[in-house]
Amino acid sequence: MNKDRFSRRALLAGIGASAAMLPLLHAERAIGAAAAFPKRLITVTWGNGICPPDFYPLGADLTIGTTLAPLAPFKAKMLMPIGLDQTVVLDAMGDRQYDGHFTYPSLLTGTAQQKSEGTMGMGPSVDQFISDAITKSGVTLAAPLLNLGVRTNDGGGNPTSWRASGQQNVPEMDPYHLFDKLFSSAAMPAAQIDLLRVRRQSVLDFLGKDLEAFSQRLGTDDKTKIQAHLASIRDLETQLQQGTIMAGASCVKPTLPAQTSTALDTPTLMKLMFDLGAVAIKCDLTRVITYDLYDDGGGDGNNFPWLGVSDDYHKIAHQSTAGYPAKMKIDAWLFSQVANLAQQLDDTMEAGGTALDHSVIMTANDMDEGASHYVGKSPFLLIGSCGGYFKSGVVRYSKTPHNKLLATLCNAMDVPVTSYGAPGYEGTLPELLA
Amino acid sequence: MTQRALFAVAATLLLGGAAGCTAYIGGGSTGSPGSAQPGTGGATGTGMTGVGNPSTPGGGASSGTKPGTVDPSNPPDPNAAGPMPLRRLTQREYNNTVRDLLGVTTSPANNFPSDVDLNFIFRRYGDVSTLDASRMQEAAEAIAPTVDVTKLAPCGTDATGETACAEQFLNSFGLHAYRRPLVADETTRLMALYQVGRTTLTLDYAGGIKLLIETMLQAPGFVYRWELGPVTPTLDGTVVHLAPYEVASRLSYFLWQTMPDQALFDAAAAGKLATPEDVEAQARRMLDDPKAHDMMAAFFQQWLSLDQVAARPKDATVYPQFNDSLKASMNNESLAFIDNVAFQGDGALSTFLTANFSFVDQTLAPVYGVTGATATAAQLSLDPTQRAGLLTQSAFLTVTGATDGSDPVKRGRKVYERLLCGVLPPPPPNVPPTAAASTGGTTRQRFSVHDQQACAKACHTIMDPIGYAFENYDGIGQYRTTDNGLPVDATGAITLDGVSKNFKDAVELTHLLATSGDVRSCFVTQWARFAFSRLDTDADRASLNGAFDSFSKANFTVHELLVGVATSRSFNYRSPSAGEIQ
Repeated sequence: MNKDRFSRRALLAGIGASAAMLPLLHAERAIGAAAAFPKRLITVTWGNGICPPDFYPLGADLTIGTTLAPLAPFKAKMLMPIGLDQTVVLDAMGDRQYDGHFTYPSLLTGTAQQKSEGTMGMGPSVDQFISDAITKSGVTLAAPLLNLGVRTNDGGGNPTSWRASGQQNVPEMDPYHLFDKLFSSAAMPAAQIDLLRVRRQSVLDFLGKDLEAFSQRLGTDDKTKIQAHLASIRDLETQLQQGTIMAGASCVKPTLPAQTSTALDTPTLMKLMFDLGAVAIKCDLTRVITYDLYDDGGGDGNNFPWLGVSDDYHKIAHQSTAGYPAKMKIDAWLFSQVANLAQQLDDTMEAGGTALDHSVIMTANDMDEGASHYVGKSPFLLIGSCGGYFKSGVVRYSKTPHNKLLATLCNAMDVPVTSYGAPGYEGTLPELLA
Repeated sequence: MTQRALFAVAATLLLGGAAGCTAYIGGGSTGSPGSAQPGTGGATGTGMTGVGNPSTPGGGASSGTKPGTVDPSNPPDPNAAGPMPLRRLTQREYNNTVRDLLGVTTSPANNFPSDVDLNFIFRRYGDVSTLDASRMQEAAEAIAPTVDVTKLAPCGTDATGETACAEQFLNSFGLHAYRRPLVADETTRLMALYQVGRTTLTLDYAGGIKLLIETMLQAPGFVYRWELGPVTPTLDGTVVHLAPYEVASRLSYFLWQTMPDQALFDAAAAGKLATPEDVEAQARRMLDDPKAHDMMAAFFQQWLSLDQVAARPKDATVYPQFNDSLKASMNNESLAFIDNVAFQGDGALSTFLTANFSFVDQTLAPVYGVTGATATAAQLSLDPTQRAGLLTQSAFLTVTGATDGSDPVKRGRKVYERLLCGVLPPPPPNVPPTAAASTGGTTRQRFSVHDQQACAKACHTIMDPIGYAFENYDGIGQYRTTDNGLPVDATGAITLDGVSKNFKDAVELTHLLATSGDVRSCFVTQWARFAFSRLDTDADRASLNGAFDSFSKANFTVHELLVGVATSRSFNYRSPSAGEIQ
């Protein structure tokens, strides 16, 4: 912990320096003028597995079954690496191959607790790592990392995104809060924005110092909790420093339905969260997004009456082939949300291609076949070439750690690495490159 | 069906060394609280990391013995006390605290990330994630402008006196917001912030006070339950005697789910919380206060997951009546019943578990098949051959029911873990799916597939026979005598107090549970977990035994149990944390 941070910040935030110290905060960035468009990474993850005979192509061609039907228009821009597994989890669990629910924390971190049924990421997830690198490169964004979720069963559960070992990035699940985070300052007069920034900076300064003083007398474990709290305060500070709004024909502030005391129905909520994510990309408010759809406990407490599926998602997944018709309906509906995002990005023309061409959307699941919760194989899918980095089609692997895919994603996003996650799973997947 | 239940069991257990299928009731595994390394606590749940949590999380017990029993070869140490890990205000505690501190009744913490901890029965927050910090910031920014500064921090019109007024405000408000007096360094830094407000932010006096309130509502002194402040704790033997303000706060967050009142602050200031007699007097006073009702609701709803009715999906083709108003009626029913038994009735554990009355309105009446209900829930007698207490009421049966029917595994598991403090082994690597109802047979016949796998058998021979007792109730708690066209068989056997006992249905089962030593013992353990906001440990054994004695002497009524917990060693003392005292 850098104790000087808050003191230095206090100096920077000092008396009467507001407008002068933040000269670029509400200057509109004309991203259309830039020669190269930024690359973006979006991950979309949910649980309960897939129906393998329908999901996986048999040959070299990426044939589209019922599950992936909504993504058919993007077939030429899709790449499916088949046969990657979560070796890091299998090794930690003593080769328990059917612990699918316990892989959320490892999906994007490439780490696993050294125990069966671990529930904690043991290092930063790839979204955090890449967004940190983007920030370090000098790019200021309204939301360097957007962790979003649609979980309608109030049960919490693990996220896929981890700031550091043991530190969850809890996803935003409220579209109204998300909207405010992205657009509220756009509606505010500049002077008011400046005043609010300085006010918040003063409060966060105090909190940082107060937390450090508070932690002095605590035991080791409790100190760790305060360090996580401090890191969160720093995140809020960083957000305070970031740019606000953008320009460009495709960047249009969306309209949300009026907020009422009644919760939004799930289809509306799902669509809103993906619409807001799409606009955040198009407006260059963020370049890295994670979506956690349903929790890693199997989405118990969710059914899909609007699809004619009244039974519980997890229960259906366990019914194996008997449950496939209902399961594929649900899965296809979730992939249609991904397709909505892909379509909006593909409709956005940027120099050298569409916004989808400059992005990679990776879908992932915490298990393979839902009935057995098998994790010896993981169903990943990439949509978008990330600026021509990835090829399209099918690439087959066997017993290959998914850490290599994470490392490859870093490289695709221009963050060069040779490995990602826990030691012992080094390497990348050159076969995926265009 | 619900392998989800199984995996959730596994998720809550995390028994690193529990190979095989050994389940147990009450104990056997000694936790080593406070020793968990960062990142090994195994917590899930939004915002949780489990850092510093006891290292044996789960729905099961972690202490070495059952309250009310003593192993002569390993007698409990009367001077020992368990740890007190740092923890945040829960949503309920935050809402109640800003209500009592500032008159805010909007329940702002309902917007915070969930405080469900999948590794612990009761609500408990983990670390402050960025989203948590952001929501707390938002709440504080919304609350501060609503404060009436002329009442909270009155000051004359003389501008030169405003600094003194602000300091005076800090002393009084700080005591209440942080639940302890501020120390000099805190006042100095807060006054410096006030001056930044008055100069850089060009705020007037009232604006400066509001800036302080906004800040303090996000400060660790408010957010965390740690009322010692930046003061070195002093050892009493090998344990730390909590400071007076810590005891005051511990009492109020246990018995009221909110901050201390003035009488508790006064007692702390006067050193009147140092002895068990002092604490007992306060606890008795507090249990007579209306604020104790919210605590009772919180415990029972979380203990049996009764507050999850609205979160349970049901198949609308099977239960078209399961709409928002029925969910609300079910929730109201259990709240009214709990409150009635605890505060108007005898408060006995056996009454909670066997009473043949409940509070039914006309929306809920069809579920019970009763007539005479009105729009507002009123106390109604129920058929004693069909209903006996909480476990046969609509909320419990709905929460533990399947989307389209009963669910013996979920129901059996809930009884086993929550009433018997039983600990189930992790599930086997692969569990065969249970057939859907459409394949025919009764629920019991379909679920018996569990018996066909060796390990599953070991696990399910514990859960399923208990759960079969509830086969007379469908997925929303309606009584039935047939299932899928075949007669219901709700008979079974359960091992209680080391003896196998037969029952013919859930009514008989709950009567057995109501007088079981195992259940009474577990009830003490669960209350202790609720009060301590952590699992019980070996160091708590004497405390739990003492609480059991209070419970036992009072015919197993809940009020005396709570007094026993509040006056226990582990409530008033704590073990020091590693790295805390150099």
